[in-house]
Amino acid sequence: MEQYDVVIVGAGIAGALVADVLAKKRFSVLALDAGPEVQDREKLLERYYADPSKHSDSPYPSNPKAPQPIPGVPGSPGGAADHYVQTGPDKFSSSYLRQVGGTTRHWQGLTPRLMPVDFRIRSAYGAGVDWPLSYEDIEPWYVAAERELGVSGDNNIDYGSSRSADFPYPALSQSPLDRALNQALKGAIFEGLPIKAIPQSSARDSRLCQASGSCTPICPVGARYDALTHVNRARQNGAVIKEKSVVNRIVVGENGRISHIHYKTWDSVEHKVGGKYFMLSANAIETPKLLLMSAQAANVNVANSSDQVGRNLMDHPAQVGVAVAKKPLGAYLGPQVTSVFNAFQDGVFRKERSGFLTYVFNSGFGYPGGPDNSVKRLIYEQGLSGKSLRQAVADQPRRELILFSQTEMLGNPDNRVTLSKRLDALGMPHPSVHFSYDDYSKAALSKAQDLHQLVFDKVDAVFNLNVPEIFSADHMMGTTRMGTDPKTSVVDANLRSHDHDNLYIAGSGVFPSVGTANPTLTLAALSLRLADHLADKLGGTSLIQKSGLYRKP
Amino acid sequence: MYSRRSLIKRMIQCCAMGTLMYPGLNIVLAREAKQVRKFELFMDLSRHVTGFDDLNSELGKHYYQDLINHSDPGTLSELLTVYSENKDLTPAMLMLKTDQPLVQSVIQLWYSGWLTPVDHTPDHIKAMAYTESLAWKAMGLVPRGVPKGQLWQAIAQQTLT
Ligand SMILES: Cc1cc2nc3c(=O)[nH]c(=O)nc-3n(C[C@H](O)[C@H](O)[C@H](O)COP(=O)(O)OP(=O)(O)OC[C@H]3O[C@@H](n4cnc5c(N)ncnc54)[C@H](O)[C@@H]3O)c2cc1C
Ligand code: SF4
Repeated sequence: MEQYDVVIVGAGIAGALVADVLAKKRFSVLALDAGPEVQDREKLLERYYADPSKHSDSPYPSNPKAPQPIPGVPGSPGGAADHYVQTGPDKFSSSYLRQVGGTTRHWQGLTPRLMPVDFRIRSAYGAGVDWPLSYEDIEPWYVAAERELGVSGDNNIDYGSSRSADFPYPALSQSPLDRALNQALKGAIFEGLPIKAIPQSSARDSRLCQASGSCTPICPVGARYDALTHVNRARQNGAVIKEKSVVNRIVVGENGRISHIHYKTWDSVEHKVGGKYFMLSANAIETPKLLLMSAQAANVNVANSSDQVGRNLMDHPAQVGVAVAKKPLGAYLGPQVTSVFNAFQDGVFRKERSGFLTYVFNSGFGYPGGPDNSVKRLIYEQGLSGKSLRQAVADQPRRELILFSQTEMLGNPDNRVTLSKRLDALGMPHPSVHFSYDDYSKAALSKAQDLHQLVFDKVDAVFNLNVPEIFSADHMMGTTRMGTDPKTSVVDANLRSHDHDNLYIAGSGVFPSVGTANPTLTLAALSLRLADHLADKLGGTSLIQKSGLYRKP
Repeated sequence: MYSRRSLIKRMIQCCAMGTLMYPGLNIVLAREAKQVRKFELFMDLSRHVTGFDDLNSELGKHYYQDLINHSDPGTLSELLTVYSENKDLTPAMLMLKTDQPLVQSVIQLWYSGWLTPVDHTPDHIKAMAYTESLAWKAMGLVPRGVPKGQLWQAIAQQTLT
């Protein structure tokens, strides 16, 4: 059986960052990924252009051997929700990719940090669960993650999370739409605070971005970060990355240590591989699924003495508001998102309800494709044709506005991932999900509707709607939560399993509570911290340690 | 060496010889000429109903074929005939006089580039249908996913002035 210092399951951003750091330190690293590795950007772009439905998976089709949710409108047939065997009461419809590079291959790249209070929400507001780490513990790793991902942002803006270093790249310019909104919102107050769209930090090299507006699903010029960057770096540094290798079992050996894992390649051949350390980074759905499959196969406990594996599944439930302004705002120009209303994230109201973070979309209603539905309306409903159609298309879609307000939900042990009886082409179960939105988040969704309405009024909307369905933000979190108590958590503050000395879990599954910030920068920071911890364990000193940013966990 | 003109002359002679030797050939040629005329009529109609004078005729061939494959041939033929006889009708009037859904399909094809999904059209043609779609041209924008050839920071500055 082949042996490595570290075996990583899942080469998404979490896996790729750790692989890169450890390979650079000359440790032997294997990263197995369930999906294919597609490096050819031209080919991916052609797939995106050629797909009339243009959704976030257009360039990355699902494969029956490593199936993934295929996004769509919530509740629509064939949408992401159909990937899961749903046991209700609400539908879970978060999506992810199974590709080398993981879900960042089609992410937006928005990289807010959590706020200091998010790490101690229970102590501050009596809601949710405190982290076993503080903001101060993680701050240096945020800096490191921002450097690795190449984040652009405005150093002069107070995002509510203090910074010890500047953003690597200057902020992306705000869009004409952002500016038009701010103009219309001059003097507007909501919940006692001014409403202002401020530049959002994001994992984009602002010096390369050409405003092609297809950040999700694919950046044609490589300005928006995706984890192939670190997959490629890790490989150059000596890591072995294997595609189409679906891990289906973790085997517990003597002393409760993990002895080896099993994986199946797409040709259905079974393989085994051993290692000193194992790290699971297959995301907050596939990691618990793998742990549960491993337990089922051997009828033993695998990282689950707490019975928390798969539980506390969270998303950032979102309120979507759409409007058509009286005058063109400038939609369809620029990166999909350049600004955010971030003033309503935190306050004492968090004792009762969550805050929310509201993104302003430059994309128009066509996100992430073209203005087809608007054009259809002009042709079929308004009966336009010829020059009058041409004029209307020049004008109407550019007045479109989408506001996307994401809220925090609290951990609930009944919201959980388990194994279903529905099998994929390699004989592995689809995840089954039991899920319900909580009142904590619903109250914030309703507040967000009020903010949307105020904004819509200020732009003299001729049409507006707060969409009645709750949207998923595609942020899956919480199913392998971190904590100090082995009875109520799966991993400790170093992301090590409470049950197995040499098993680690990376990704947003470890978040005990989730704030309203998109999760990836935080999970990247935690992954870099974990890489350092592993380097330490293996007897090395990581580059980040040398840079002086490191504080021992 | 043949000049272009002499080549064409020779081709016509060959065709004439051919029609003498193979009487069926003139029927084939006549049918093809009619098809060409119909396609040109389709392009002309497309310009009229979309409001764009500069349409890509390579794409037009695919759209025309898509309509032949997926609409009633009689209705399509009738639309082209009515149009050829009433070129001064506005697009709206033309829709009243003919099959409105068919005219709207023609417009939709050009604006969105949506070829009927069941067709095995190669990806590069479907991709061209998107990148050349008129909706983006009407908005004066490069289609989403296509680099603008200019940096966002500069574009954003220009929109300030
Ligand atoms: C459309 C969209 C937009 C998003 N935008 C943002 C954003 O703007 N900001 C933000 O912070 N977050 C965003 N997210 C979320 C973000 O993409 C994820 O948080 C992040 O990618 C998770 O990284 P990960 O490495 O933990 O997991 P993933 O990226 O999901 O990677 C997991 C990897 O594990 C592999 N794998 C799965 N099962 C197995 C197995 N059994 N064996 C081997 N390998 C396996 C998969 O193939 C995959 O490569 C977005 C998500 C979506 C869907
Ligand atoms: S706007 Fe275009 S170039 Fe800029 S990051 Fe998004 S996809 Fe890349």
